[in-house]
Amino acid sequence: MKFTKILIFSLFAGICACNCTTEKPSGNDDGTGSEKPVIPAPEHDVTAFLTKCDGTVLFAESGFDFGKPGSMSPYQVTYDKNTDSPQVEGFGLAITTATAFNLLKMTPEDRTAFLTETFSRENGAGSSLIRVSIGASDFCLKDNYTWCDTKGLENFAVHQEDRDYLFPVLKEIYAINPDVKIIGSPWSCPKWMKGAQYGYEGYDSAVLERDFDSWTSGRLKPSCYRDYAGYFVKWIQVMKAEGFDIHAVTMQNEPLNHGNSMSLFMPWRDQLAFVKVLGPALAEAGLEDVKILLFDHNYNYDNKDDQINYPLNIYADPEAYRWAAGSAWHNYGGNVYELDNIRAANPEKDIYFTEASIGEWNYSFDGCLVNDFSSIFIGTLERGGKGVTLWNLMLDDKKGPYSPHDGSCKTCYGGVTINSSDYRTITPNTHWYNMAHASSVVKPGARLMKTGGFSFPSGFECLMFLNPDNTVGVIVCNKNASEQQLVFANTKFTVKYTMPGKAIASLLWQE
Amino acid sequence: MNRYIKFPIMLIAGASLLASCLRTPEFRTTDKGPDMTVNSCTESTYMGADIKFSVTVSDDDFALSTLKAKLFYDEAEVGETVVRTKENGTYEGTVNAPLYRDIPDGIASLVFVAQNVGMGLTYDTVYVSLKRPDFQSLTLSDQDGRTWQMSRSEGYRYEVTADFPAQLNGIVTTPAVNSDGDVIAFGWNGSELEAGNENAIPFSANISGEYTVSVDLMSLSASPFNHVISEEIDLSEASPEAVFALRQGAGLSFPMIESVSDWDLDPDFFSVDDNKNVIFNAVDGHYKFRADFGASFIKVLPCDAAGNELAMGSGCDGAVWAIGQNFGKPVIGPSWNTTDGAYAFAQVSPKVFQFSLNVGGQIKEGVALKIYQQMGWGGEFVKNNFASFDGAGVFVMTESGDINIAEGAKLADKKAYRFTLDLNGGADAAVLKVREVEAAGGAVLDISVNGVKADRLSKSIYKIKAMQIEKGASVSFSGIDNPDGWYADPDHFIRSASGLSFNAVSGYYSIELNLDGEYLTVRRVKADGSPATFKDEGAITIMGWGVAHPVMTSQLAWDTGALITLAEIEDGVYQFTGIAVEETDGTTMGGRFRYDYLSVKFFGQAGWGDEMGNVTLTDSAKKLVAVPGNIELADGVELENGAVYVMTVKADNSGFSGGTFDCSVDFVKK
Repeated sequence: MKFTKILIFSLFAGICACNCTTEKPSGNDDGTGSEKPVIPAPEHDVTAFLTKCDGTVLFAESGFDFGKPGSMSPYQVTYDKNTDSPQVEGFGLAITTATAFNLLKMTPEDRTAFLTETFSRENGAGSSLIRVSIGASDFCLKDNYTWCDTKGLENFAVHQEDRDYLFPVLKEIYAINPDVKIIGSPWSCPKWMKGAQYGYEGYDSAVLERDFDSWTSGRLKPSCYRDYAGYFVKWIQVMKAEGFDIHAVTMQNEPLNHGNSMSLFMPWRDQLAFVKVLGPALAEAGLEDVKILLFDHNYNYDNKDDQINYPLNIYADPEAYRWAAGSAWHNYGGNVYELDNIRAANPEKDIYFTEASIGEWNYSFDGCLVNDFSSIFIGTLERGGKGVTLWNLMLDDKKGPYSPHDGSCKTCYGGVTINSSDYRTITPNTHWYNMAHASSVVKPGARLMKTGGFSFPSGFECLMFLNPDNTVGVIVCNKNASEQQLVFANTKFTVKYTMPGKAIASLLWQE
Repeated sequence: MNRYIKFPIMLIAGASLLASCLRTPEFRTTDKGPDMTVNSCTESTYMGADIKFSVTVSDDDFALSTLKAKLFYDEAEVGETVVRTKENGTYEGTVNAPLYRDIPDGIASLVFVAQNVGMGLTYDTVYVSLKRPDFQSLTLSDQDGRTWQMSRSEGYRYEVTADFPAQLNGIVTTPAVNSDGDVIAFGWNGSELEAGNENAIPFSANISGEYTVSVDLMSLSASPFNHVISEEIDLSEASPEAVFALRQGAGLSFPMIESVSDWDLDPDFFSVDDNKNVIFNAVDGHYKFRADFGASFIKVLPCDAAGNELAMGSGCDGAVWAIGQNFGKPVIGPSWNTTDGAYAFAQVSPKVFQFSLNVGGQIKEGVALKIYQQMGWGGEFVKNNFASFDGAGVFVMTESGDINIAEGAKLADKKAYRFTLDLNGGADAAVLKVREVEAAGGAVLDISVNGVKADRLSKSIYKIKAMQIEKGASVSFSGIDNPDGWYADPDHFIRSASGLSFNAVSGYYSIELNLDGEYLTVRRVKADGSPATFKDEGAITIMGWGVAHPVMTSQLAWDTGALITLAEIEDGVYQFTGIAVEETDGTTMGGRFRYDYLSVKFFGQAGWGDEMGNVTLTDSAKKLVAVPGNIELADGVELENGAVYVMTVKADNSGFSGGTFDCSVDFVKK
C-alpha cells in the first residue's frame, strides 16, 4: 500500500511525497526514536499495520507469510467464515466547513496528497464513510445557517458557505474514492419551523406551535413536519445531484441538547411523529435508499429518564418502525454497553456511531489511541455496528476555525491538526490513526466473524472480518503493557502475529 | 518415543556473573550438563491427561540440581514439572497436557532439562502425540454421588437428558485414558470447562425437572445455566380457561398467545425475566387460568385438580380471597361480588399471600377490601384475627376487617399497593402489611362507551373492537375526564345539550378513544370487529391528500393504516364534514379538509381493491370539485379557510359484487 510508505516517510523521515511536512504526534516529544521507513518488501501473504501508544511506530506497514496449518498454540484463534452479521459500511471523520476551509488553504498538491492518504482505497487508508451537517454546525465559519432561512420551502437554496467550501472538497474526495458514503445531520431546523421556548420539554400543542426565534433549543412545530420533511428531501436531492452519495440522515444532531451553537430539542416522541412524515416523504420522492437513523446522541440519553431507550420507543410504533433504519450514537455520556440493550431489543436495526471528539479536555496520544479504538470502533463493531464517523477530519492548531457563537466547541482537536502558519504541516492525531487502522483492513461490505479458541485476556481485544473480496481483516487493540502472541488458524494455514503491548494493529490477508 | 535432539549446552551467563564466579572459586561452574537418559515417556495421550516419564540423570563432577520437563505446543510453553534431583538415579514424573479451546490434535514437544549445581545443562526433547478427548460417552456425577452417562451427540458434544435438580453441581469424567485407569475430570473455572479443575460445573434450571445437560470438549462449553423449564399453557380465544398443575418458579409458555409477556400480567402470580420468559410466582399447586384476550389479562384462581376454587386450609394454606368494592384486576370490578369481583391472593411462600393493585385502574378512592377464606361469603378475616396491621399510613382496618383509605390519606398517583398477608402465626394471628410499590405494566383504565368496556391498546389509546349502536342512541362514556370536551366528528355524532347521540345508521362500529388527543375515531366494522366492506355492509372508506382526521397534520393520505369509513347517515347516504384549514394546521380539531388541495378517492374495503367508478357531481359540487380521476378541487378553486364543508356521497350497494361502484357527490359550504 503506497500510502503507508508516504505517511511513514512524511511522519518520521521528513520525506513527504505530498510536499508538505508532518510532525510527530503531540504528547510524544520525548526524543525517542521512531522506526525507520518500511523498506518496500516483496509480496507477503499477510499485511500488518501497527501503531504504538508511545508514538514510536505510527501506522507502520509490514508483511509476513502464512505458517503451516495444524498449530497447537494455546493462542490460536479460530474463525468461522459463515457469517451473516451486519455488513460494515465504513469509517471516517466529519467534513465540516471548518475542515473544508483548512483543506482549501492547502496547496492543491498537498491537499490531494492528504485526501489520497485518507480516502484512497489503493493508495491510502480507504476511508469510506463521512458525516456532514445539513446546514451549519458548530464548526461553521461565520454565521449559523440552514438552507432555508426565509420562511417557505420555495426559498430553499444551497448556502454559499457550503457551496464555497464543502462542495469543492467533497468533489475532490469523490474523485479519489467514488464509493464514499455520507451521513447527513442537521444541527437545527430552519428557525421559522421552530416553536415553543428555550428548554421546553412538554407536549402542549399550543406551546409547540408558538414561534421561537432561536438557533438553540426549541422544538419542531408539528405544523412544520411536512415542510421539514420537504427540506430533507430537497437537501438530499441537491447533494445527490452534485454527485454525493447520501447514505443516511439523522433527524437531529444531539436531539436532547438544548445548548451548542445550534440545536433543536427533539425528544423521542417528536422523532416518532416526525419519522412518520419524513419516511413517506423520502419514499414519495424516490429516496427510499436513504436511511433514516434515529437519535444521534449519547449512550446515557443525557440522563433524562423519560428519554431512556429513545430509539426503542420509536421502533415500538409499527409505522415508525417501517421508516427507521437504525440508530446513531455519540459517546459524550454513558457507555457503549448501552448498545447491547439496543441490539438485544432490535437486532435487525442498524447501529452507527456518528460522533466523538478529542480535545483539550481528554486528549493524550497514548490513552486515546487504544481507549477510543476499543470503545468506539471495537465497541460498535462487536455489537453489530455498521460504521463509525468521528468529528472534524482536520482542524488547525488553534482548534478551528469554529463557530464564533456561544456553545460551539473551541477546544476540539481534529483527526489531524494542520499548522495555520503554513497550512502544510500536518500532525495526525489518534482519531486519524483509529480510522486508518479500521478502514485499511475492514472494507465496505465486511461482516464480523465469530471467533473461537484463545480467550483474550482483559485489556486485549481482537475482531475478525470477512471482506467481500474474500480477504480477512483483523483489528487488534492491546491496552496491556505485555505483548501477546496470536495464531489465527484455518485448515490451510496459520497467521502468527506477536501483538506488542500498548498498541493497535490491523492485519489483512487473502483467504 | 520420538527422540528429537540431545545435547549438552554451554551455560550462557552474564559477563559480570562470570567474573564474579572467577573470583569466588566456591561457586564453580561448568559448561557440561549431567548425563541424562529418557527411559520412557508417554508417546501419545489425550489433552487434559498427564504425560508420564522416567528419566535417569547422573553427574560425576557436580551434584545434581533439578530435572525439568517443559511441554510446548508450537513455540508456546504450556506446562512444566520440576523434579528435585539430589542423587544420581532414575526419576519419574508427570506433566499435564493442557486442553485448550478449539485447538486440533497435534504433536507437542516435551523438553527435558537436567541441571547440576554448576549450572551445567543437558537438554533432551521428545515428541508426544496429543488428541482431544474423544469418547463415545462421558460420565456426569454430582456431589451426592449420582451419575449419568452422557452420550456423544455430535463432534465433541455430549449430552444427557434426565430429571435433574434445579441446581446440579457436576463433574464430567472421561473413560480411562491409559492402562493405569487414569481418567480426565472436567470442572469449571468460571467461564469454561477445565481438565483437573475440582470446582463443579454449576448447571442450573429454574426448577427441578427434565432437562438436557451438555458439554462440548472442543469449545469447552457447558449448558444449561439458568435454564427455564416451561410448562405449556394452552389458552386460546376459543378455549380461554383451563386448570394447570404448576410449580413455583416454572416458566410458562403460551403457544396460542402471541407476545404474552407484553400482556398486563398479574405481578403477584407472574414475573417476566430479561429474556421475556414468563415465570410463575405462586407456590406449587393447581391453578385455573382464565384468559381475557380483549384485556390481555389472565385471571388466576387457585383450585384443586378438578378446578374447584380453593379455600384456606386448616394449616392456613390453600387460598385467601379479596372481595369488596372499588378495586379489581385488570380493572376495578363489580362491588361485593363473589364471582367476577373475587380475587385470589397469590401464595408466594408457605402461608404468605400477596395481592397488588395499581392506583387508578385497579384501586381508587372509596375502596373497601376484605379478606375471605373462600371465594365467597363464609370465613372472613375481621380485625380480631390480625396480630398486626400496617397500612403504610394510607389504609386503615375497621372492626369488621374492611380495609379503607384512612381519613385524609390519598392513594399515590401512578403507584401500586401490595397487600402481604402472613399466616405463619395462624389464622388468629395474621400479619398484614401494605406497601407502596411501583405499578406493574402501567395502570389499566376502566373506560367504557355505553357500558361496553374498551381495551387498552396503549397507554393513550383504548378501543372497542366492535359494538352495536343504534341510530339515534345516546352515547355516554365512563372512565375518561371531560368527555364533553372531546372531539366527536359531526357525521357520526350529534352533540346537543343532553349529550351525544349517534347519527349513523344502526350497525357495528369500532370506537377508538385517544386519551392524549381527546378525540374519537369511529369506523364501520363487522360484528367480529373486522373491517366492513361496501359489498357486505355498505361501508365506504376514504383515502387521499387534503382530507384528515381529526386534524390536518394527520392527513389520511394513501395510507391503508390511517383510513376511516364515511359515516352512513341514511341508507346509501354518506357524509364527511370538516373545517377547511391549511395543510400545516395541527391544532384545529375537525380541520379535515385542506383549503387549497384535495385529491381523494372512495374504496369498498379497508385498503386497495373495490373503489369508486363513475362519479356524478351535483351542481353545487361542480363549483368546488372536479373528478379528473380522483376527486380534486376544481381549477382555480380554493375553499374558504376556516369554513365548514360537507361532502355527501350517495352510493347503492344492492347487487354490488365487487369492482367499481358508481356514486354521486355533493360538496357544499355549510
